[in-house]
Amino acid sequence: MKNNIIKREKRYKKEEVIFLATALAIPLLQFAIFYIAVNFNSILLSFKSYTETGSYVFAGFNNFKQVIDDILHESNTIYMLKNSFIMYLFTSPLILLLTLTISYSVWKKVYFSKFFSIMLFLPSVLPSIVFVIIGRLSIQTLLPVIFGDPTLGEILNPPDGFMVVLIYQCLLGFGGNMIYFLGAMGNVSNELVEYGQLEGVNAFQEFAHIVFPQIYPTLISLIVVGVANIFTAYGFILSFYGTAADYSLRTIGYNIYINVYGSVNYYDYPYYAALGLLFTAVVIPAVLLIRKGMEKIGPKED
Amino acid sequence: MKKGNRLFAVASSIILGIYSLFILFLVLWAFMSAFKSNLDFRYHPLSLPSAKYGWNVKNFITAYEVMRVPLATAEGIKYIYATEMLFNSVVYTLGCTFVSVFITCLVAYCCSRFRYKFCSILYYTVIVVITMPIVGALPSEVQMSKNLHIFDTFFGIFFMKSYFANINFLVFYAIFKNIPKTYTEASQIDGAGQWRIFFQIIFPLAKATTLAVGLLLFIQFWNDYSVPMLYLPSKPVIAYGLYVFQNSRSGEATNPIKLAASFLVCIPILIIFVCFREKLMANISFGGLKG
Repeated sequence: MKNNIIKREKRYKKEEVIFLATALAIPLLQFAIFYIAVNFNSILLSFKSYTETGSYVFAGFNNFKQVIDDILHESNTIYMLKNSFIMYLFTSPLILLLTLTISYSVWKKVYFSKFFSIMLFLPSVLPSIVFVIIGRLSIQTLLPVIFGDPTLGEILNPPDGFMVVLIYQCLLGFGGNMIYFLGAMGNVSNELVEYGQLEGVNAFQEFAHIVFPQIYPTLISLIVVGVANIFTAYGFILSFYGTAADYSLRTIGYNIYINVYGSVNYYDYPYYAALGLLFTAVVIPAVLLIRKGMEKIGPKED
Repeated sequence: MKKGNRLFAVASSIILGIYSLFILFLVLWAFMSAFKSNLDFRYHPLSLPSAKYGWNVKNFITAYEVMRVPLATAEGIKYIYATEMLFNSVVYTLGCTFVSVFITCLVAYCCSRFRYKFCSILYYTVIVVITMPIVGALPSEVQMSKNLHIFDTFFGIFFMKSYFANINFLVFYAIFKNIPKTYTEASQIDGAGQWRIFFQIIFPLAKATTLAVGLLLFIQFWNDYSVPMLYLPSKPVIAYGLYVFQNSRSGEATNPIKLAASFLVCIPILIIFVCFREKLMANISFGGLKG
């Protein structure tokens, strides 16, 4: 009897191992190629330089020196860096806090909350390029008519265009993260809410002491993801301006994308690989610090 | 309702109402303008289509016919029209959605249900990958896909999208972790193999979440043009077609026609949104990243 149990356990273990091996083969292969190998290749690329014969040679730290020099002295790079941080500040902390407040309102089922949740979610459902077309045409044709000022139709031109596009992007960006906040709020215990109501808490107190501690881990995750995207995001810039945006409108992420897209040979790749590595070295500690800091200062669920 | 709560409800409703009216106004104005002639749009942008120029329903047909993407080939410029772009979109969207959902779900299941050291290592690897962003790997990624000869192929993009280290992993992980082990044990005693346990016992319990995640990813992939633009240059999708069309200066690509094209591209997504709105906005939660 005991032997049978041991034999059965061994059989189960063997089946589990075979299952894990078959289930994880393709995902691990993909991970090995497109995460480990790609990032390793990116590191190697950052130390290379393109020659006239079409091959790469070892370039030492030249690419990194060029990147640092551009960051410190080259006006276009400084502009793009500034735009990247502005885009982050608008689209991550600011939008997240507003989305959180709006999500709470929808969760509380304020008047017409179902209609509002559809309107909030709609910009995230429809293609962003559709809203870009609508936004561009409404700015160019409607604003001059409504306000009687023909120059308002030109506000998408540089240098004002960046802030205009950013504000428009923020206005449309609430719904995307709302779904995660609503999901987290759905886990708030009804008994806790009822207890709060019996104790006479108002909406603000309920949010601060009952709801916010519950959704705080979700907020941390979304803020961390936002920090991770500082140097890769380009928002609506590509949609509004294509691949030839003025430097005053660009972000670092946009610049990397269009230079990779438009590269005929791999000439620029080493420079952007070095740029990426340097920014990664900045972003990773920032992400860890922010996460640790937020976990320390934030409310606890208990 | 207490006075404070009523004040909150009213204030929230007013703010949300203003915002909703803004979105509604934009969408309705764009839809109305899609029926106008170019002159009517230019001289009467705020009003309904005038009686003089009428409601031009054929704008939508024209938009479908003239929306095209030029492709440089060895034989010269070749144009890809809306029908082919639609086909590319369907293949790209369905393939990427299926692969992304299935692989993420499977890996999350393996990490959450099996007590092997490797599974724990894999779980923490995912957490590290999600929280440790890598910037500027795009050049290397494009180079890798070209070196592997999977660049500009659907197979290649599906393989690239079978990437499990994303937020949806945490969603599935949380679901599978909460399913009692007794389900698995009872199935094993009844003689079910591991694949059968996954597909017939455990996976059905996560159907609702899988559908919600799948729908969100479907929408994301359908609307995406920047990834196909880079990795599928000879297989343009409809979103990319619209992106190119919006900058078109040809005589046929008037502003009302561009708006009509925009709404044509929205039709599949609107159908999905109307049919699955409740499921789309159902609870998707993940516990956040701790430790």
